[in-house]
Amino acid sequence: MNLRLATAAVLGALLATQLPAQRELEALVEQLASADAAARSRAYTTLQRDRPPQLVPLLGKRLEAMPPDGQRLALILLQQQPIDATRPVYTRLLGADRPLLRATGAAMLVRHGDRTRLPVLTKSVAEAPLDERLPVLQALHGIDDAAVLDAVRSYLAAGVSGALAVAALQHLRQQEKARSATTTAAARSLVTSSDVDVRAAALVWLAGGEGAEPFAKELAALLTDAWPRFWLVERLFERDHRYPAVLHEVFGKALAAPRSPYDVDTLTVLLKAQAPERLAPVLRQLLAHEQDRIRTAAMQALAALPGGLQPKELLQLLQTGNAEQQLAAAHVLRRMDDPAGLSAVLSLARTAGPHQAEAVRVLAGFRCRDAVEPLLAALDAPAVPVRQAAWNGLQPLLRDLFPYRRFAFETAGYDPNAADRTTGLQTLRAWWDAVR
Amino acid sequence: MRLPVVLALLASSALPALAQDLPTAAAVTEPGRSLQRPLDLVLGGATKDSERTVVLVVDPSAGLAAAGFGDAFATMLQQNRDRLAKTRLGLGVVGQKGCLVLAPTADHGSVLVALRAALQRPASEFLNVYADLRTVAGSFAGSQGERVVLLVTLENGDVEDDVEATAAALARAKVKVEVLTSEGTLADSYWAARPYQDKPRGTTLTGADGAVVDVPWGWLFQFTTANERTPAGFAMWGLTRLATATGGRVFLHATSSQTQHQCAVHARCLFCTGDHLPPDADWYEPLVDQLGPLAASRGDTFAALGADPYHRAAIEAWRLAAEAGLVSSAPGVKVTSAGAEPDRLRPGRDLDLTDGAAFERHAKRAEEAAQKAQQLGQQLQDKLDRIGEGKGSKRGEATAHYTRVLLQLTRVNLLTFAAWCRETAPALFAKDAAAPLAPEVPAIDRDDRPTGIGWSNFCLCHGVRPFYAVELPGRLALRPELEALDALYVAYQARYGRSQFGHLLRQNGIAQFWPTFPGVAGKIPRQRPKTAGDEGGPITPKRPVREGGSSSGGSSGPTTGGGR
Repeated sequence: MNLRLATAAVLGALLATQLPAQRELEALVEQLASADAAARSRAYTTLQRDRPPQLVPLLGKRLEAMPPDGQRLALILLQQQPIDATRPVYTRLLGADRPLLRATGAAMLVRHGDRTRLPVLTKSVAEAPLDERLPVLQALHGIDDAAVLDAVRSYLAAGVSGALAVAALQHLRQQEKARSATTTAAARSLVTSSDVDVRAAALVWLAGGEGAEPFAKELAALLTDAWPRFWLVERLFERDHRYPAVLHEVFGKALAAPRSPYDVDTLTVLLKAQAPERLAPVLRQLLAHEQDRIRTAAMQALAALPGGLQPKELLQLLQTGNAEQQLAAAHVLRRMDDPAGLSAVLSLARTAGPHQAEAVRVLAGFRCRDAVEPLLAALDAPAVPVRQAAWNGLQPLLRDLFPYRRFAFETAGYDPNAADRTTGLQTLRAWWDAVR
Repeated sequence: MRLPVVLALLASSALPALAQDLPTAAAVTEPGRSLQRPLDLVLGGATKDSERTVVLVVDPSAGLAAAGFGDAFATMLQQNRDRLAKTRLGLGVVGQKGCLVLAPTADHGSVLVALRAALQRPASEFLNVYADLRTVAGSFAGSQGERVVLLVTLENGDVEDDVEATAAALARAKVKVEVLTSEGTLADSYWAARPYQDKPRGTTLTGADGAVVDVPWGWLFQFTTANERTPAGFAMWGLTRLATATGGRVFLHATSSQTQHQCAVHARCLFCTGDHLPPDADWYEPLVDQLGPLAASRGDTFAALGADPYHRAAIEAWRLAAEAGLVSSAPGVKVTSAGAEPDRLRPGRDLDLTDGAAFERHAKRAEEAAQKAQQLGQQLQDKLDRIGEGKGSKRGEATAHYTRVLLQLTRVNLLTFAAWCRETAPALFAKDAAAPLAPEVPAIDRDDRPTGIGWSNFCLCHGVRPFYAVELPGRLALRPELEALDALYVAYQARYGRSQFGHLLRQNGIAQFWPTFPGVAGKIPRQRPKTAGDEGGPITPKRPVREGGSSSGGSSGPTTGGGR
């Protein structure tokens, strides 16, 4: 009897501690269904950070009754949970009203090996109303099934929006090993669409296939007249595909007017594969761009090209006072056998701050004795990335400066991630003092 | 005046004029490395109203098939249909009996079909292109208008068979030879170093860009021979010669994957991790052309070498260096007061520096050899300083300066070796040696006696100056020698850096040494005499895979890539 009482007391105490947490979780799930976007966002951020396992049954109960925005967030949260816990929820979603919910549930089950759900998935994809098709496509990644692809192709018909056409064609390009005749036929049917965005998407597809030349010309003309469309269809261009020369100017124009450093990176890759001779002049123009981060991205892209930057330009960049540009310029100059950037790098490597780790990494590339002391100092920097960069850089540097000596760096007893690094640092410093 | 002096004066006054008049490879070598351009220029270069006969002679190597030659040819036919209206096309396949597999015809489609079929059966043997060209020369009898052979051979230009007779036969038949081939190697010594290689009867394996290997090769303590890895900017001499003698052109082909910079192939680079952007990576075409080889006959080339004061100085230094054991090869050229003539290939003296563990003896010999290298270097420098402005050829001058730098580099390596033998090696085996401080550990961890000395190279791609920071044997004593080498290196690269000769120097390195120990050998199978049941070998031996400077790893040698 005493034992029963004791057990009941322990359970009661446990419940007493857990109940507030459970209530708090329920409140967050309610907020996820809120009409207030800020409240939804706060709830999502908290749940996404904590990922409590108790969330799964709560979401399972509330999901179908939530408004579409809440459902979207709830589905993302569910996908972050282990499949064994979420499988019953996905199975229940197969009977949901909304095709998006059915498609998401079926897609998750198929992705985890249950291919008997493919018919449900195909039907849900085909039945999805226009406003649900974009999130449906997002749920389909990695699913390789001919019937599902046919259902996706059915989206490429009259009434499709530009964004949906781009998403559907991108999905099909990723899944089809070679451009299929059916998708090409669907794209051809969209070439006469009255929606310029849809036409642009279809033309990008056709400009990458057989008989591409006329489509490429039409696409180039269309993009010239309606330039912003380029950014809508940009992700449909394949990085390793050779497009007709008429499009090279389009790529060059896009690179010349990037919206972000990301555009500089992606379009550099694209243009390099198409017309490498056009790349350097455009990147060079961007060195004078009003945005600092675009100038830096252009400089880094230019620096990666053989002969992309001349030493004189690099030396000028060392004087800009911009740490990112100084480090990139010093790195390229070092690769060109010019140590002119060493003093700037030494200074940045000794200065704690957001650029110290990169400075240390660049410094380790200089095969000179001046680099050793600052790297040893960086081994005791407060920031872990700085210490890791110093440790990773010091080892090859010492091996190259002392090629007749053999090293076993683990014997130094240094670990950049350890809280106490004193012994390792003393060992390394003693060795350096003895041989310097 | 004594007779030899008179003869020398006569030779030096008469022959330079001859050298100036001789054609160089630059005159016939076209820019670019694509397949399409030569096809468009040679085959599409016809005028649609004039009769013409073109025989495409193809050496069907795997590399040619992989490069898409069949497709390029098909594209050319399609794009030049009108221009080829009065061109009769034939096809010869090197190695096929009689070579010509399709007599010249107006049915160009049948040529394409036969070409594709030939490329489906790539040959890997040494093939005698020259003999087949002599055969093809006879197939033009009775043909109207211009007569052209487009020879496409990426690999077999080095299987030489009477180049002059071939050129004469083609010239007699009024056939112009246009050549599409791969880039040759600067003064390639590959086959000279491998005289044992089986080859088709009646042929000689050569392969250099010039008629003569005119740049010293086989330098002491150079793990690889720079002459085997340096792109020449031109084709092999035999092919260049055929084009020159018949009024044709040479087109070079390379795939884009062959153009990636690599500091060294079999050497360690201490100064980068494969991200080097050498400032001299882009060659300066006029300089490359100036340093190009002669495209004259071998006889005329010898005469020109003998009359060139730079070449004479370089060859003399080369011969003395071989006698001193600084180079493993003696020159295949003998300079006389009257000029130059071929000489039997002889090995250089073996200094016996790396066998056994007699470190003190090795050190002494190395120091004596280093002394000799310094003496020869100074002698050569004195000769070069005395040669007047405008005398001699640019290539000869580059060769002589290269020899000068290599003599100093060899001195540095010998002094490094001597210091290693005296200081580093004994310390490795000292019984009472103190354990090194962590993170350093003993360089060797075995007690048995070494049986010899191994070595490799640190590449010179980044120059000499970065080595000042590197701990090398000899340390402070070596520093002035490194500085002397740096001065020579910098002056040389300032002049030749953006050319094949700049690349040549960067292919050399500073040596690193270590003790070697007996290996664990397995049982060596007993050599048995041949029996009657043995299968006979192929009539034409297989071409071994040659590790060239190209990243392709193929046997076709290196390339400078998209432009010279």
